[in-house]
Amino acid sequence: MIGLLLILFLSSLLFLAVFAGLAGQGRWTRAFVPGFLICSLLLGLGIAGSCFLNGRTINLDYSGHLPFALGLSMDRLSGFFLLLICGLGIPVALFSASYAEHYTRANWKWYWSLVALFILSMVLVVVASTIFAFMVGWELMTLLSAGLILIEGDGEDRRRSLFLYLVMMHAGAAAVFASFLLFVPYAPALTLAAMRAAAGSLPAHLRVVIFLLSFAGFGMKAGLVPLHFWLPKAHGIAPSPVSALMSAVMLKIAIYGFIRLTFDILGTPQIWWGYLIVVVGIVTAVLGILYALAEHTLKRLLAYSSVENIGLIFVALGLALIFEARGLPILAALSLTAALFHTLNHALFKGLLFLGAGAVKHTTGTLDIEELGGLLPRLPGIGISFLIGCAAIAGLPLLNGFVSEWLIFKSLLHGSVLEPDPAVPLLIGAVALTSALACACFVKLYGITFLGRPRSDAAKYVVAAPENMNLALVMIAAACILFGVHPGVALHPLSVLAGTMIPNPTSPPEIASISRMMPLVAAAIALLVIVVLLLRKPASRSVNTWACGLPGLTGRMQYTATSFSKPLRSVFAAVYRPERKMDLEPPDEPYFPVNISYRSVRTTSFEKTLYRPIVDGVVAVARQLRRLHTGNIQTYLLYIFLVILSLLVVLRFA
Amino acid sequence: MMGFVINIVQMLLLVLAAPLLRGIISKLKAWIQKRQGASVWRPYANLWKLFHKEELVPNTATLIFRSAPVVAFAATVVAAAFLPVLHPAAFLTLDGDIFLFVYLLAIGRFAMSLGALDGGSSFGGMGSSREALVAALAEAPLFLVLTALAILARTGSLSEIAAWTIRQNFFDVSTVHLLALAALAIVAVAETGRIPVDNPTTHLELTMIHEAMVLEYSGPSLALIEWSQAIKLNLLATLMIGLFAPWGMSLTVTPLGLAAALGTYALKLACLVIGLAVVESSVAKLRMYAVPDFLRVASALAILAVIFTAITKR
Amino acid sequence: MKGNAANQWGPESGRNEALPLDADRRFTGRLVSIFGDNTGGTTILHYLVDLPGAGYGDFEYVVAGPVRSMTPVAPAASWHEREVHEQYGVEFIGHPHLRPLMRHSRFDSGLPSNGSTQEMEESQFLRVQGEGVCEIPVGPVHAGIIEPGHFRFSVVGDTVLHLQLRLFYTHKGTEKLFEGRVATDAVPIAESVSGDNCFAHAVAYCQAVEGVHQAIVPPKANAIRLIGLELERLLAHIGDLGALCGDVGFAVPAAYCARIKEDLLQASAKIVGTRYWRGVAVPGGVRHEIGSADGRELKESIRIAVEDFVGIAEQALRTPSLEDRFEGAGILAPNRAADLAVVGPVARACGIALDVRRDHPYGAYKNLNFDVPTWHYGDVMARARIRMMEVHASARLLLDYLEALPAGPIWLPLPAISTGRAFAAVEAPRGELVYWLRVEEGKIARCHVRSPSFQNWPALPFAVTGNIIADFPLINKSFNLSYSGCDR
Repeated sequence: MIGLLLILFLSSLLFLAVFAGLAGQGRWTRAFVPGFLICSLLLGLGIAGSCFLNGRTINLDYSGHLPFALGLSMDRLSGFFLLLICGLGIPVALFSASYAEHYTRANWKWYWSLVALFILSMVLVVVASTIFAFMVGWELMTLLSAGLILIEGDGEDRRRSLFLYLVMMHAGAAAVFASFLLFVPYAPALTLAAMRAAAGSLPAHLRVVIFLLSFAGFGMKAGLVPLHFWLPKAHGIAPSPVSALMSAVMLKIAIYGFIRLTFDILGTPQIWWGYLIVVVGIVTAVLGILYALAEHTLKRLLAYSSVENIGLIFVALGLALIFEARGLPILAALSLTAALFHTLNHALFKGLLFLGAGAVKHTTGTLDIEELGGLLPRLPGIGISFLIGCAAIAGLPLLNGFVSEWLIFKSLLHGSVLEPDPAVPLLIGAVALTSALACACFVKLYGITFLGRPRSDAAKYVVAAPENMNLALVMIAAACILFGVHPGVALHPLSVLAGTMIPNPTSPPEIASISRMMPLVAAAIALLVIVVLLLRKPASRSVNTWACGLPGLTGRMQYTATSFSKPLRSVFAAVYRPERKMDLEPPDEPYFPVNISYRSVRTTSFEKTLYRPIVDGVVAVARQLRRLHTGNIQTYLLYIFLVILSLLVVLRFA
Repeated sequence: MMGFVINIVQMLLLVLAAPLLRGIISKLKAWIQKRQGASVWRPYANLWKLFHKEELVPNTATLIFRSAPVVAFAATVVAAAFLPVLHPAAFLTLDGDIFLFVYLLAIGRFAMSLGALDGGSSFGGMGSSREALVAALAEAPLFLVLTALAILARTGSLSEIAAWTIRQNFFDVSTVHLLALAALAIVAVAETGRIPVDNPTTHLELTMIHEAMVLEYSGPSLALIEWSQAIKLNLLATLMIGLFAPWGMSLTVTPLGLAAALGTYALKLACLVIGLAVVESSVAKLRMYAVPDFLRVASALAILAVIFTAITKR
Repeated sequence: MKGNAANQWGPESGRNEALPLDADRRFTGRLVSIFGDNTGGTTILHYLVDLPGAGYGDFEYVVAGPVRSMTPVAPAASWHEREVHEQYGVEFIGHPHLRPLMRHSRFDSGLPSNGSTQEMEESQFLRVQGEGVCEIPVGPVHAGIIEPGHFRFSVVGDTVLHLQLRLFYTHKGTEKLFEGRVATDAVPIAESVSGDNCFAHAVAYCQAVEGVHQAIVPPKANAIRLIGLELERLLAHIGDLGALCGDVGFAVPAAYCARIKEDLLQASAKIVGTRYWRGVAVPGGVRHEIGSADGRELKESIRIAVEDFVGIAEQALRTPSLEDRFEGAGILAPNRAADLAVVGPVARACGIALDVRRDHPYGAYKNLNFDVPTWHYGDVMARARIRMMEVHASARLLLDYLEALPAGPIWLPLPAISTGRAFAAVEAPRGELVYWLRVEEGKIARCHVRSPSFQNWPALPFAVTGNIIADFPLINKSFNLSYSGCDR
């Protein structure tokens, strides 16, 4: 029965893609398409919930009826990730209903059609039970997101970023596919179940190779340093709701793949795997947030912050592997729960923030923080939800980000107590640094964008945000608060899920203790706030901001984002390698300059030493492949077809 | 039941005695400068005055401006509920509350930084940017110090760490403790905005950190901010006492034991306060760009402390 | 004086004196002041130049049309020319910034205005281009008890890219106030120009009046004036060093210095009746006798105060945390200092040995052999060190003088010459202070006051640019310029 519902869900997405592409564009269609998408996502949510929460499983295999191995299955893990896709998909669809309104007819069709297919492809990855289905979904996910990026124009810069994205993703897919193919001699069929059964009989060196390939492949998709540089480029240029889906959900699909392969299929890890992941994860986290701090374009900043959060998730995953290898299943379950909860949380607040960025773009026309300011009174709904997103991602208590960070800290502390090696406790310092920098980064982002006075006319004359957008953001913000104040709702099922991945653990005590503590802390703070508000003198007079006796302040007389992050950037100058230049005009006149201009070029050291050669190489290849690379969506669809075809061929002969 | 009452009393003590601590510090500093100085009760009078004044709100300010001090105050007070003062237990306890405690203080900082930016002047931005610098660099050593002690005590709860430390012999002070104490002292100075990191009494807008952030605040909001700031100072001092010198805390809930605990607590606090006053009187404020170096020292000490835990364990 | 023809520096030739210019049309000496005077409807420009080896020179130029600006070759001329432009409407050709200096746009309510006052005010500030650059307006009203002045910083983060000053909020038209007064009665006006340097102003003014009258000042009066001037320097430097410590949050030395300064002020009040020696100087001498008992008492107070001060200040300056703040902060390059013709301790801290007491001795200083201490680097520490050295020197002078005060009258009546011109220079605590006076029939026709602050303010931005904004108060304090003295 539930299997049928899954099929119904998948076909409804497919139907919507076709319908949006073919139907006319009356008012009715414009309301129907998002509405239908939301309804079918609600259906998906129901399926996901029943698998994730109640542990129902689905197993459908159509391989016998089809020329290729198509099988679908669902367990708690896929249920959880399906929950993420559908849960985020709903506000994204709601948001898009307003966001896509300014598109041309053709783009509108493409947008909805591709969004439906994009969601479908992600769903396919998490419900696939055969590697064929998994890889088809995986490739489609990349290509469809690329297609969506092209909807908002295809200038030279965008094409370059996009090409980089595609090259990186395909390299990642190749690694992932290779790691699956290594199972071939040992598994009777390339299905998850068969591979799981075969995992025990794999020779040790092959397990290592499989692990490394999957770590590289999934890591590339997730944006781990040093394979992250495509991420801000791609996420920065996609339409905002698509950025939200990419950052909040698509990156998590990589996490799904990694958990599925490493924890579920391979099992019994070696301890150095964990260390490798933890080190890569923490480097990713610190560098990601440092890059984010230096950014002053909303979406690029958010994209770099995704890099940071992916790093944190991998730290927790690595810890889980370490604990599992050490034979500490309870702690492994704790770390895995932390990783999964942070995955959920990041999906929520990053989705919220990307949608918020979309709303800012929609209402002001710019994403440059330096031009914004004072948006909160102009966009109250967006502003408040965005604040909750910022506070959550900064890891403040009473919001969901704190709970998962606390769980990560707690896992690290357990690791510190158990490990004789001082490297683990030092990680606590590194995570603390990351989280403090994130706090600074999001104070900057929110304070400069939404508070103070407008820095440009774009920020001063703002069109009101559509109700759909407000509602979409408020929905996610509410979830952030719910999981922050009452984390037990999510933590208990997640710890059960973690238990299915790791043999014989009991639920870690932290799950219960933090679930009890947070409502208490929330109540205490709320009580105090209410008491103070009741006692405080309400009357207050509005005056001009103190201007030191000047007639008034202008928008220029406020700290900018660049200025805000300057002290921290100078502390970490080694990462940024800034080049500053002051030009005086006339150049030989220090006393009476007519014009002074300041320039600061921030190229990251990574970019200089590592990426430049790679990017130059890629661009050189791109020149050769220009004939293939038309930037035309139809051509891309042709590519999809070709890829599927080649996959088919490979699988037939494998 | 008695324990519950004591836990509430010690939390209230932290909150209500905080302004007095500030008053005593200024009195001591005045004495060192051979001045008479204001009364030690002056901070209370100041709060009373501010609570009764009219509040001016900048015209760019949104609801964030006025809610920030309230949120900061509430979070700081709740953080006080986790600290053991008179006996090694607290109103709220959680295995892992060392992290929650720090994050509760971070709520206040986050709120006040946004409140400062909401004022719409460059001073607010300047203050909150500098605060971000100090906070970002102080958090890692703070976590490391707490971790080092948590590793020794094999628990992540402030009260449990205090209880563990009481059971140790005073003369068995480990290298870890000394290093961690030094690191925590630096962090506490930075976090509470005392000299040499920030000068709480300066009138020079351009050199301020915390004061620049609150430049636009007046009346009741300013009172809440000043009070929170005083509580924060008290919290960090009490944290140092609880983690490094909890001896004297009453293990039993008896009137006599508690009175003795209160006495020793006051004594230890007095030592810290005298130390702070002497340090504040004998050094100049650091150049803004030297503050990171100062905090790097704290990080280095904290890292050493953590490394030494590994050695002690063997 | 080189014999460059007048038409090479101004479009007009005729009865004008040739300015002392070299082949590049630069001044061969140090520019002291440029100011205007109006006699019988014609505007005359005076160029006061300190010529090496030849003393001060006062060069006149009759204005009959636009005048070639000296600013492009001598940046120090900029503010002077702007002031003259504003006061006398003289057009200076080639001046890069001939904007009003003293008059703020909001006072010009009668003038047709193209925009709001705020826009007009804003237009005078240079907008530094570049992403992320923001402006920090500070003043005219400050958080502390400081005179009014507006500082416009263009910054990226804490780094100051550009600083522009907007002063003259305390412009009181003092030079105009002098006019029409009986020359011998106007000392109180001079005393009010710059409150903490009132004795230097009074002495400089008296010397100018005495110059007009060609009077002789009795030795005892000169000795008392020297005591007053050096005591004023002592007070200023002790106060400055204390304030420098206070600005870096070093409260103990600050409190000690304040206490020592107060002790000295009270000693002054006891001996001469006023704390800052207000009302002591009069043309022809001084008003207060310092007897031998008073002298000994004052000497004792000074000895104790200086001993205390040197103890605390030397210790403070050796404190590593303070050294770290002072050293390398606010460096004024010597070539900038020379171009802008800065004076006083600021110049001496850049290695420019300038001291009116040695270069153009007056009063009791004529009998003294003077050493002008200089320091290098031109940073805050250098300016603190210079003050320290001057405290030592002044204390020695004071102790010597108070040991053996000459006998004789303290005041002699002025000869009855009631028309003439004269100028007098005094080394005030902040540097060279010049009064230029023209008296007609016993009444003042024109009095020009060139305070050291007016000369040094334009150099401040060059010491601040490139530093972090948090160091600005410290750098500013190390210059310790007077707003009132500059604005007049």
